[in-house]
Amino acid sequence: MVRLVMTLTLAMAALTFASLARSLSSTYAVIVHRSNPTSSIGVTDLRAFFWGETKQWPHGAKVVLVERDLRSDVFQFLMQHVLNTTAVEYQRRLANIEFRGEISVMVRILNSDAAACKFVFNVPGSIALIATGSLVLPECGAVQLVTVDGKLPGDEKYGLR
Amino acid sequence: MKRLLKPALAALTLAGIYGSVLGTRALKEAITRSQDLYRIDTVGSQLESSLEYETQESRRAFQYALAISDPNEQLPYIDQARAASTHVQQALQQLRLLQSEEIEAQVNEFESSWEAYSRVRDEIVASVLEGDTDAALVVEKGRGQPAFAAALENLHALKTSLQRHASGSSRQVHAILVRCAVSLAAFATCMLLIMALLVKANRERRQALESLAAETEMEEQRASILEMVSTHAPLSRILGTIVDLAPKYVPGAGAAIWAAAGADLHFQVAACLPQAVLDGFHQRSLPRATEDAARRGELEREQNALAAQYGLLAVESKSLHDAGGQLIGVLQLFARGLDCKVDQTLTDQMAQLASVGIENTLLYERLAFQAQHDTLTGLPNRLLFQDLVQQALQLARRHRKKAAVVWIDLDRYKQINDTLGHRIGDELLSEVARRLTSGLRESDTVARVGGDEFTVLAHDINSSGDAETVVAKIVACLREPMLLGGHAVNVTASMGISLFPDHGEDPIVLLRNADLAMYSAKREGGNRHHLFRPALGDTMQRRLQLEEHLRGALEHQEFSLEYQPLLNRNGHLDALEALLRWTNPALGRVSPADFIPIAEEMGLILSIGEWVTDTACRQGAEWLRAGYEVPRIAVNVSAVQIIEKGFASMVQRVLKQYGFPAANLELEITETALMNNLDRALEQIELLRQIGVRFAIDDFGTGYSSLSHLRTLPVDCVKIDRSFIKDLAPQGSGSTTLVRGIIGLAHNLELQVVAEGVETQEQLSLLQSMGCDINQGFFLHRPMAREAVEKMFLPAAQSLRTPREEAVLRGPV
Repeated sequence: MVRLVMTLTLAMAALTFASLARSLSSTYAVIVHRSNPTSSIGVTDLRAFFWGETKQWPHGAKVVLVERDLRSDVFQFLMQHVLNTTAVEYQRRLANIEFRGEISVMVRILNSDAAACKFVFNVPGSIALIATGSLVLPECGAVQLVTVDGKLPGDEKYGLR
Repeated sequence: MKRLLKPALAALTLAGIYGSVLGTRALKEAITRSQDLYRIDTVGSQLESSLEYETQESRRAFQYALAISDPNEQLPYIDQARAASTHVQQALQQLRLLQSEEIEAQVNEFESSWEAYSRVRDEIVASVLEGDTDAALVVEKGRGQPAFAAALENLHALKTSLQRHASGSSRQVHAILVRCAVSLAAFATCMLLIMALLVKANRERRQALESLAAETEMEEQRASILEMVSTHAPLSRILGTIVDLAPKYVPGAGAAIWAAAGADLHFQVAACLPQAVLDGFHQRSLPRATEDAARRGELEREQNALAAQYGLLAVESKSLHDAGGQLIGVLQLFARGLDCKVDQTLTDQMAQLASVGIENTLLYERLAFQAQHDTLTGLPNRLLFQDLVQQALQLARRHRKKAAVVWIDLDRYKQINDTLGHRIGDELLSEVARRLTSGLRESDTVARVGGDEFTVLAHDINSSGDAETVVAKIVACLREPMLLGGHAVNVTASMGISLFPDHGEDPIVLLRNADLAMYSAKREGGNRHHLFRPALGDTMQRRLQLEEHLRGALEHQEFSLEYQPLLNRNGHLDALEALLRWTNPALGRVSPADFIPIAEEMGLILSIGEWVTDTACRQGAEWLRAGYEVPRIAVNVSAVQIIEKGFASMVQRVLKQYGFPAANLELEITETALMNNLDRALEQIELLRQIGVRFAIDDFGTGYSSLSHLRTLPVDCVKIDRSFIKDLAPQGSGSTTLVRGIIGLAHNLELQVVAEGVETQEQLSLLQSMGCDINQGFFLHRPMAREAVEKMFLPAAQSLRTPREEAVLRGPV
């Protein structure tokens, strides 16, 4: 009987955790260097950063975009829900900027959210989009989470989900 | 030492605690310093390695940055560099724990330079990750390297300080460790001393406990020995237990005890001594007298020399004395070899116990002897004699032999004692004892069973003739006069013999029968012996019974008086003779003829006579007070009474006490008693006659019958004995002539004549015709009790005369 109760309890906990993880993995967070004074941006601002339109932070630092690899969920979300474009279109647009001889924004592709966090930690002007679930990773403990349109990933009507 | 132990322990404990505190504190300080050293050493090496690593990683990062552009590959190296930096920070935190101002300053300086370098490094790292290699190189060359060099310089300064600090700490640690070692050594020393003291104290305590146990055991032994003494255990057992104490408490020791036996000290017991030595001790006794002390010492030396032949060293010889200081024994202690030490306390204890044991035994033996022997003569007493007779009877029974018991009573011993004194009397008894003991066979037993009474037990005899032989020897022993205090005293004895088994098979019966036989001989005048015969037993048995009951008769108020009237020629009451009566619950009414002689012999007659006089006078006085015409009251006086000096004064006192007129009292005394002690009797008679007391000669005619003496005797009356009256005959007889003569003579001397025992009319008529004044007898009146007398006193009663009284009045027929 006791064993049965424990088994049921563990099963319920596992379902709850899985549900939470699924819920969190379906939202995305924006992180910047902890020395960055900008703590809140809007989705529009986010699009401007990742379209390479905003090249400098308000405090003057050069913007460095941190993106995940093309097959990652994060990149897919960025393309489909934030920028409303495709990866090919996106890469072509960034290449056009460089082709026009404009000062292009620095883009660095990283293999994981942990690597993204570590990069942001080392580069003061960097900004990255990562899955909200990755915020619990040790590598993500020393970066700054910024609000998007005044909301955090757990809030209702958070824009990046 | 015991008193110093506790303070010493306390001081050492305090010193130990202080030493341990100092040592612990020094040790703690040493550990702290050692930790500093370790920290310095560890941190220094960490710093060195971290900086070196950091430098290498920086270079490597640049190289990778130049070679690769993928940040994913650059990041792990950057992590390593950051980790090294973290280690530097941790090392610096460690150094701050050293709490050294110099180090602290150097650490701060290095830390600030290191932070400056870190900031530059972060900048370089950012440039590298951004992929801006040129910028990174510029920063590295322009600011990174100088910052790193500055940090390196500060690091060297810090390391120098650390080395200096480490060197100082090392010296301090050394000094502290030395101090610690000293303190701990002191502590250890104190602990060792405490342990030593505790061990010593424990050993002393154990020794004390062992000593206490030994003392307790000794006390128990002592109590056990005293218990034996108090229960009169055999002396050999008591002394044996005492000598066993020597080898018990001193291994290898031996002991021997000599105890008093008469004039010498005899060897009694020994412990752990060879048989040859014991044989030597047994062969010779030690003289006991004080003047023989030198000789005793010489003999003891000889004994010691004998013991020495067997490897025994005499270590102690203690004389044992009783409470009076008399030598009663000797305790000797021997040791086997010089190493064998005998404790003085043990010796004293043994000597004391031996003294008590011997003294008690001697005392007990003396008491036992005294309980069974006569102290004056040393002969066995009655108790022991009975035991000896019992043993002799058993032997005689076994060997079918006879045995004789002779009871000896010295004649006139009381007179000798009274006239020559008790000392001479005692000498006489001792001399008789000596003569009997030496004059008889050794097998015969002589005992003293009473004041002047001895007994002899003769066993192994075959007939009464052998017993007669023994008696003849006794007579021979006493035949020679005894010279006592300058007086030559001739002693004779009355003896009685009883034989076993003819006259009894029991010691008590034999002794009683011998006593009865002796008494029989004594009654016949003494200086003779009688062999017991059964008839003697009955007579004497009766006599003994009378004696036994007579002793308490007065006290038990068994005596009473009856009064027999004496009538004159007119038939009037002339006098009442008070007659003593004895009624005993066991014997019934006893005749005065039976008990008066015994009372005289026993010396009771004085008391009885006084009681009679007292009672008669008291009764007479009561009658007078009652208004009766009381005639004379006649009281019989014994020969013993009349010669007693206080007799007259006793009578006077009684008369005065009750107010009875002296003229109404007549004292009757026998002719024999009067004549035996005439002078002393006359003295008393004269004293009483002067106050008016009358005297009568009782039983006249039976004794001296000295008619000529009547003239000189101060009496008022003569009572003719009944034996003459009984034989009176009208036709004339010897008695008639004698009575007539007595009456005539008495009348010529103006004495009244009383005829006793008048039992017939003829006797009365004849006496009246002879002119007898007063008559007394059963024919006229039997003795009567007080109440009957009182009836007779009544006037009416006097008118109612009996026919016999009328016969008296009628005169001779």
